[in-house]
Amino acid sequence: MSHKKWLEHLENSTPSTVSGDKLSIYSIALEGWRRGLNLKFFTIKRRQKHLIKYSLSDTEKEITFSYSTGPNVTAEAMNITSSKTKTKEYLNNVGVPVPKGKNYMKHANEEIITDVSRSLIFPVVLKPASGKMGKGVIANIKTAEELKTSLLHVREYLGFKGVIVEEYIPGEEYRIYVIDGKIIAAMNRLPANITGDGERSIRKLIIEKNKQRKQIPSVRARPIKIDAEVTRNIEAYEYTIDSIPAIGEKLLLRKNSNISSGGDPVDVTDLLNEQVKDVAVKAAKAVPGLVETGVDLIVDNRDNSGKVIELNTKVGLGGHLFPLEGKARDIPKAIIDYYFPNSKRITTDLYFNYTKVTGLLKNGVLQEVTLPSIPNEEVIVKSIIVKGKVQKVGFRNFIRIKALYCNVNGFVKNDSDGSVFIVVAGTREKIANFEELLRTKYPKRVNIDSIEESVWNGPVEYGFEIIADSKNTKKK
Amino acid sequence: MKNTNVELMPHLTKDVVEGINGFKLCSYLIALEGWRRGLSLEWYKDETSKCKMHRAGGSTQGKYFSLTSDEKTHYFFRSRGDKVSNETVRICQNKEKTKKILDDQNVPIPKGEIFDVNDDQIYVYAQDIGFPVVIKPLSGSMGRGVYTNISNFDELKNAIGDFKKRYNYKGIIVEKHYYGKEYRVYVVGDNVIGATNRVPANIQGDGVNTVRDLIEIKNKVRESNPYLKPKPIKVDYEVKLALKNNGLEMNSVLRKGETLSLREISNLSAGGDPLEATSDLSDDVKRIAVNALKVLPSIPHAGVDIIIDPNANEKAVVLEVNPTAEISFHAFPWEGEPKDVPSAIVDYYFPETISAKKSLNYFDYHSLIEPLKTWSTDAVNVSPAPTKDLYFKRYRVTGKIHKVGYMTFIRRQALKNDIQGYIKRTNSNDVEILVANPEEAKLDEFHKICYKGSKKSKVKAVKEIESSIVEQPFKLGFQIISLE
Repeated sequence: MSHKKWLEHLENSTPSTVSGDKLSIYSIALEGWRRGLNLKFFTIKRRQKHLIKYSLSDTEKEITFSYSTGPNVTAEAMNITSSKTKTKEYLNNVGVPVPKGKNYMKHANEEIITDVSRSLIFPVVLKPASGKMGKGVIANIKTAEELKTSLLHVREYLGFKGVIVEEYIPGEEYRIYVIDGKIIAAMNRLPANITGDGERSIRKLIIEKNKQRKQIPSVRARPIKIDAEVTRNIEAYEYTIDSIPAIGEKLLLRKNSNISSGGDPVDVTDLLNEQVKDVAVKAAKAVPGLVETGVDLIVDNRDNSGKVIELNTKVGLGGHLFPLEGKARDIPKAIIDYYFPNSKRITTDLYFNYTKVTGLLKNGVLQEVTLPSIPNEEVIVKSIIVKGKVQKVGFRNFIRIKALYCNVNGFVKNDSDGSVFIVVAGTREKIANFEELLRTKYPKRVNIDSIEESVWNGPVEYGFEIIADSKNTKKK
Repeated sequence: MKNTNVELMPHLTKDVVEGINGFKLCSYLIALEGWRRGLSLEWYKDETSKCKMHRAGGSTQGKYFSLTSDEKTHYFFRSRGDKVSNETVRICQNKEKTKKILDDQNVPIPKGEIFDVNDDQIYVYAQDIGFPVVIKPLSGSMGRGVYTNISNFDELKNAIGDFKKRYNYKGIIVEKHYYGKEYRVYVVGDNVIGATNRVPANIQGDGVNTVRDLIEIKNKVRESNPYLKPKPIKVDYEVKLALKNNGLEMNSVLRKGETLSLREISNLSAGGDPLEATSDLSDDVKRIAVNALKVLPSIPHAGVDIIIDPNANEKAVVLEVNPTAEISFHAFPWEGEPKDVPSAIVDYYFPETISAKKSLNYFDYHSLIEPLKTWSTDAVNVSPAPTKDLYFKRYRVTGKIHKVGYMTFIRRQALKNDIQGYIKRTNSNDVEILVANPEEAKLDEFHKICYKGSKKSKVKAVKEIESSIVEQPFKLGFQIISLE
């Protein structure tokens, strides 16, 4: 799916195999690489996991990233933000508003209920003190009785001992990306949802929505699954899975808004009010060394004020880069601007094959892969159609060898009309060299009738490949 | 026909070198040897940004690499390392220049001189050095315009007349014809590591089989030698001519014990046999080969072509020095004991690793070279070789394990847990898993993972069918082997 508000330089350069977390790594690595920085991918082993890290370097420094986070985020900052309790202390210290609430570690459930009833007003939110990704969070608990069953669920069933109980704030939860004190992007994550058209059943609408999601890199591998929770929510609307909602009727299928369980990322950067912006920036600054962070914040719908829930590192960028609604925000650009302020994008016409490069690291055979760096010269892209006796005479292999020799990128393929189609990208001089060889040095068995050139819009994968004949020729 | 000739070194089995040929094999053998000793191995797209090594042409992908210890890095292009100077590589490209330096330093070379093709002094010179002589063009190649075994004045006159009629070459070399076997001697430092006599494609009669069958049988045997496998004897014009000259046809039966040479040229790629023959070399001859390198500026290892005098085994002449010599045939001869030239080269560059414990692992050369070939990467660094002894267990798994993501699950878990090995479907539709790790306890832990399986799988049983220490070369990583 093409989206008019996505980033053009990223949209067409993101292969379908790059989705989810990989988007964060790929988009930052790509931005740096396109500025002529040296790019390396490597693996390190930590706690039984092979982690893929990458570094960008110029002549002065090498910056190593872990997911979207660079080295200026200190270990201390990571440590603080990984604990909700500690984070809250730092936020309180500088007067950033946070929801009222308390931490309970070893207290019995009854003690917690008594204490909560005394110090907070229902409804409340219950969450594990050390949870991640919204796991075990129960919102909008209206009575002491509900709190009791919720505590049982979180502490006994899910096994989280330490819990936090907080006041429930009605409103939207935003994720705001801040780097070096500047807000770059904000998104609202809507729980998995569908909108009726008066014709199709809920089941069909979900299938349709999942089909659309497959076209969107940020949610590609994250469909809405019809499970017990979804069924329960449908029942709450007094529908069944085969009911047909009215035109424009929006159904929320889950409580939690995680993208991984089918939620929609929606860009809201332009909707933030000044007070909320202030709070987000102040929150990021509250923790020393937290130069890059994702601030989770609730905008209270009673007074539009922002209250900070959590600070995150290694944040996923996918939802900001490929939102389902609203404008994409160029966080990779902001990150590279911050770490390499003097660098400039040389081209957006080239990209590298992330899956191929990191695939080698994943099977454990390689530990480090260095990518070719881009020379600081204008890149030109064009397509060339060669007609004549050009198929089954070794012409494509000749093209490939000459392309690699001249250091031009692109591909060559046979077309069904008997011609050969070439796309090349490279500096003006290198392309001229290639064309000279194409015109003069072709093998004897080849007979060229005509060579037509035209512009080619769209980025080209680095390297040069022969695209094998197949029924479906690659569409760009 | 003898079938005793295919003898492989235990660390270079068929699997280790499967599908790797030519100069790629030279490169791989040295890289593998260094890597197995714990050196860090990196392959490069080309040499531009690293160590500039002179080369005449050809591609660098899969042939240009470096080995690094804690203290130093050495670069290699094919079999040549960076201790061989570029200056010498250039000298060796010019045979005449090489010979002049060797001659000046008293290294024996074939007697010969360059003449204009019309110069009458040719005849005087030929008589001077004594018949038989050879004539060849100064700048020719591939044996064009070469006339051998010219044994008297009249023959020389005819040969020169024919040469002038057929070719436009001005310069001509008149050389003494040396009888005797030609050897490729690989020298590292002060030592001869291997010497190979290459003989033209040939067959041996048994009084039963026809020429056609004998060729087929020989090619079969060649297949068991990984180096010779892609170099069968092909029946072409030259082979048919050789048969005709011997009054034979494809259906003729050769007498028992009769050896029939099928070609003039001894190229291995045309079906020739590399015969390991280091024991043919006397100490004097070895010294000649070693000296040939000593008198050139910085070339501590190379292949030296020599002819040994059949009448005096202390005498030999040096024909050529090959700084980027092919080395694989020393390790995979048709006959004789394989010589570990790759190991000798690594010894020379990294003497501190001579007694290092060597890994039994090898790596998938093709898959890591691929991205360099398409230029999608500049350099790839191979994961360090595990040098500890490996325990392995072989499991047979039954249950609902197909089309439920079981194989990819196991592979993922294996990589996570540092388990090497493979998983494959057996003919009976079960799954066989081989797991290897230095700690036996880790294998038992992994047994549980095999039993648990992926989300949708239902494993009935995981039965241990074999358990031992890995003693054979072992492919690095964890592979899914698909059913053929």
